[in-house]
Amino acid sequence: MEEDYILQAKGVIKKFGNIAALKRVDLNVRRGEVHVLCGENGAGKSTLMNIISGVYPYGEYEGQLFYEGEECKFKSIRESESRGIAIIHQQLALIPQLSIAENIFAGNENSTRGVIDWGLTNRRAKEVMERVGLREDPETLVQDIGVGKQQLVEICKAISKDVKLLILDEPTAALTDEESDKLLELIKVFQKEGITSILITHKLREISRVCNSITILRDGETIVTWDANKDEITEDHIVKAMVGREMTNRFPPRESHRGDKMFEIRNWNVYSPIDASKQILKDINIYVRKGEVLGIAGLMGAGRTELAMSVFGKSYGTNISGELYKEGKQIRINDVADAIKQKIAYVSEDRHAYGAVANLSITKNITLPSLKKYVHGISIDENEETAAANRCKEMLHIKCRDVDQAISNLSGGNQQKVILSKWVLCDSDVLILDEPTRGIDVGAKYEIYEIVNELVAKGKSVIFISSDMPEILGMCDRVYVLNEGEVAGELEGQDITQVNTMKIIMSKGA
Amino acid sequence: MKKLVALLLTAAMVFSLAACGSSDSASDSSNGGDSSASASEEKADSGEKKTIGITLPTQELARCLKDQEYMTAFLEEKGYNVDVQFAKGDAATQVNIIENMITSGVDGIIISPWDGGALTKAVEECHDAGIPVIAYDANVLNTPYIDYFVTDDLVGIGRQQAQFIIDTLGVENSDKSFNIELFGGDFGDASAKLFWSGAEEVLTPYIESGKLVVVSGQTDYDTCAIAEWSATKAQSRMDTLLSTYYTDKHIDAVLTQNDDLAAGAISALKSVGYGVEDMPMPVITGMDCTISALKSIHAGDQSMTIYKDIRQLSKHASDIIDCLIKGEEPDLSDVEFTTYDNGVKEVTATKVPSLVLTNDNMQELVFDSGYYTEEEVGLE
Amino acid sequence: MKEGKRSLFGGNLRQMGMVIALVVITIVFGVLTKGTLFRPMNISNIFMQNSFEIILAIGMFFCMLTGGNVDLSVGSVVGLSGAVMAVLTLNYNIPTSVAVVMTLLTGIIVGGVQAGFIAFLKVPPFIATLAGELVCRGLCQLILGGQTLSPFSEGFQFFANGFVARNVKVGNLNVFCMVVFVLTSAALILSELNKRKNRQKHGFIVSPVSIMTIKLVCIIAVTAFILFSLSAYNGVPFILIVMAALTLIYSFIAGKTTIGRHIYMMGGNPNAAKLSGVRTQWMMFIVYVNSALMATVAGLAVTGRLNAATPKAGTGYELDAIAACTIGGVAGATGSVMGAVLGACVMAILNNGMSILGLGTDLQQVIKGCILLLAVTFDIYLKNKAKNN
Repeated sequence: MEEDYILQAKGVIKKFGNIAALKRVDLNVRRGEVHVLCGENGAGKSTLMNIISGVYPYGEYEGQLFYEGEECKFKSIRESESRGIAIIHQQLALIPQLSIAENIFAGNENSTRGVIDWGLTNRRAKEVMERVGLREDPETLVQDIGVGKQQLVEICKAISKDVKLLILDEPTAALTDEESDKLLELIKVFQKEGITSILITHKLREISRVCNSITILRDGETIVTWDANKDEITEDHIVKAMVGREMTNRFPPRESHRGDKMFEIRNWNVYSPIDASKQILKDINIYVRKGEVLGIAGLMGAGRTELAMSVFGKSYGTNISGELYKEGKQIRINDVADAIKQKIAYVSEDRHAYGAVANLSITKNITLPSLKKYVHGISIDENEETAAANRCKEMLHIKCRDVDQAISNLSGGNQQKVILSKWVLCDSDVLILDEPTRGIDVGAKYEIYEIVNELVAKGKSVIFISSDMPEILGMCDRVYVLNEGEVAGELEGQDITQVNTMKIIMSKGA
Repeated sequence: MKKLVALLLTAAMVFSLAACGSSDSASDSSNGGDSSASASEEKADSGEKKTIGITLPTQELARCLKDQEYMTAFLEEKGYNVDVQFAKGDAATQVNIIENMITSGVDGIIISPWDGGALTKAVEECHDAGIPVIAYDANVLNTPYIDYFVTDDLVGIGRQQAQFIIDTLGVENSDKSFNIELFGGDFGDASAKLFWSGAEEVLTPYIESGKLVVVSGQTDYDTCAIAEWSATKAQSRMDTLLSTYYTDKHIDAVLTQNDDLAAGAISALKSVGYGVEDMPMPVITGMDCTISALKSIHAGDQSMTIYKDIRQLSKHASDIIDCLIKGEEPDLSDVEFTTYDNGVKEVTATKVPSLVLTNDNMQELVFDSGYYTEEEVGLE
Repeated sequence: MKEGKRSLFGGNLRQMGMVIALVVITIVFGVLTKGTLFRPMNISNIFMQNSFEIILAIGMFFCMLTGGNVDLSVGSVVGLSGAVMAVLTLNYNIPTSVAVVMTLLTGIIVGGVQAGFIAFLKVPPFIATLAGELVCRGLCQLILGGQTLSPFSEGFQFFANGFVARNVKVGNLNVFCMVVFVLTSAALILSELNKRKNRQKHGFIVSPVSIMTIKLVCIIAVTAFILFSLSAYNGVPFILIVMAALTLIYSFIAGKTTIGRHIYMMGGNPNAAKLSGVRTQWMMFIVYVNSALMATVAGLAVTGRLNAATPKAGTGYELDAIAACTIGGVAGATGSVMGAVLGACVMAILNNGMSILGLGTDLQQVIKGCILLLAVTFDIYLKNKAKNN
């Protein structure tokens, strides 16, 4: 065609086992433009970028990639980098204890026969830093500069490699408004220098400032591509394209009988454990009723897990202030043991790191928080434990050979059920579930939803944190939307729709 | 299945390594190597031959190897099998060795202690098992079960060292006074204290009369003792003494109780300039007849060492243990003896005379007697 | 098939392997030493020469259970406790029993300081105990003034060297030995039957009677051999009773109490454990204080046996303890007190056997090192196989 495309993806498909992350993606990026990529969590944006940059090498995906007119068969990141493709991830890949210059040239050192020329390194670093407007001394340690500037160091890293195509994944997620503006200006400057950019973002403001084209992905497929010159790009259009999907019968039916307030969090403020001046949560006020499923929605980085863990025995954060109320009475929770005593439970989003003790048996994992119940005199009655574990196995339909198996042998879904049983045995009143169905197959998800329903039918309260919009819609009676550490909005009953949720999120950044 | 294979491999490996170790030692016994074959083996073969177990403190001291050589020779001559084991400088190891010798069924044990204070239980077990046991070179303390202690004339050694200084300096016939410093052995070493008492006996009258002056004033054992008889520690102390007391004085004699201490003192003296025409080396004593001491004496740095008659010591040890096994009273008519208090009883001890060795009689004592060869000492 | 085997033997496959290895090594050395290994006096010696191995292994077990942590200071604490004991009784004439209590307290305080750094100040255990090793060794030498101090009272020596009711005999048999044999056998049989009954009550599978009988017969046979041998010499060494008691008590704590369970969970995943209410800091603290306490007890045994406190006592013992635990299959959240004790028994037989054969300590180190490496490789092999299944 007549268009000069620097990058084209045609019919790209990527499967992980049986699950297709990308079902069919087409992408056409013109040389010298700023191309925005939009989509919900799990739509496939990161996967696509990983394929383009060579993280998933040629051979592990189907379809074709064309770069500068040639088909590319990248085997590694190094290859794509050498062709001029640079990607800046959301998670900064810098080494805090090393200097700016060292980080810029990490893996790409200015050395002859293995000996680094530091003078040259610092000079070249300074040159590159000038381009992005970073005026520090190149020998400053990365840990001593703020996140905004660290982001710029990442960009320096990219452009020091003679980049032609720059991919930025949610670059302003951790930046202040001012820093974000500066970054967007920089992207425009690069554009003038002939560098093409792909910008992954959900912030409408950014889109309107820099976008030349926009492609929207949903469920691993390209839904639509618009050209800013030709088409009208409005927020409504974008949101509808991002979320519009059929609601199938993914959720068990439920009647909601809600009672009085069971658990309330007031004036909750939390600061980061790494940087005590950085506030993570600001003036959170939320509550949940008996028999209610309360959803907490929001994007990654909004502070939902931090909220849950800081409430659950101050397991996260410093400088925590605020009040907690259970059934109307104020309570103090200073550590996890207190929380458990107050019959509050927390299921972490990261099963491996925080949920299961891998090489120990299912039984031992299940009985851990409620161990006292099985102690007669001073010794633990292992047979009673096993019996209790077997009861859980039946109740929650955990698929395993026997409860003495190591928990690591189970599938993700079953592990999650074991972790849930832990708290069911404790007879917890308030269960905070953080992404409980992440990484679990559809069938197991349904079973977990059923368990949740059974719990609330008994009068328990469930706080359901999820990034999966349909899940929030299908399961929750009421939803708080968190954004950037604050409660951005509350939706109830019929108002809980994907569009409304998205609107609340996107408007915060406006 | 694989598990079983792995286990068998372990067994095979352990077996072969251990068998290596013990077969090596079996072939070494006649050469006086590391250790010899299990006593019970040959006993079973010949049906009658008795075994003497000897435990020496460490292989690192040259004299221990000599002890091994002579004792093995004498005992084999008498028709015994000999099992020599070294305690590698560890008290608990020596206790284990003794216990294992008892279990293996030796008929007599000669102990040259690494730590004489740590053997009470082991010696008691020997007594309970009816195995005669004697102490060699160092006493076993705090036990009533040691009857004989074969050693040199300990006090006499000290006297010899001190007397040598007196004679060499010509103190008797001189008007001037001489400067001297004193170096003792390890703090806990009972033998060292006995040497010291002998030296004190000889030196004190001269010190009191002012003919000998200990410029530093350090004359009691604890102040002069050097931990572990260490040459480096002796050197440090000498350095300090020289820089504190001898900046404007000349030191005429150093009583160093053994060769290692002497070597340390000599290094210190040389580094401040002693050992040349106008600043001659003081008289320096020693003990043990180590190869480096012999070289030092030959070169004129060290003045003398004590030649311990290890042959005599070994002979007496062999004779005594032989008598004890046969149930006889040992015949001590050819040697002087005395008793030492080991904390619980007075133990009968031999006083085997030692000799003063200087450059003059080195040829006769060391090379002619076959104690060392000239090549070993490095003097052709 | 594998699952069947596991429930047949009613326990750890690894532990079974451990026992087999121990038997093999014993037989190998028995043959090499031409039977000397099995003589009554030697059986008695094995226990008395190596009591420290077992006591230290028990302490180290809990450290390693928390996930790859060790206590490098135990060797120095052994030396230090001997030194303290000696100075108290010999220089200050404090009665033995009082001195023992004071020494134990010293051990607990030393342990407490170390544990405080590890648990609350988050100093890595390797570094904190390395510092402890240096400090305690220095203190030991300082207190002793570089000398060996001895002797101790009869009462004190009894702990390490004494025998129980040595002279009470019927015919040629030591009465106490017989009594212990009968009691132990009865206890073993009853406990097996009890376990069986309990499982059946809850409807779980039990191993066939034949297997249970064979297992019991084997264990009782070995116990009989040991006790009859001891009877033929001087009877049951007191220190053996101490070791047995410690093994039983700590096995119980590890396997059946909440503290034990919490330590296992901590070793498996400290974050998950914390989020389930385990007080991880206090657990670490207790573990390291306990290790120092065990080292103090071992120090009293070592000192009593030598009847002297030496400045170098205990040097290198920490490495033996770690080796014993590793051979016994102990790792983060894995293993049992029994396993650690079995590993220590392997070390004990190696020490004793090689000493009888007159192998130099250098060769002994080589052999111990090889066996350690083999044990670890075997463990990793088993783990990989399990993962792939």
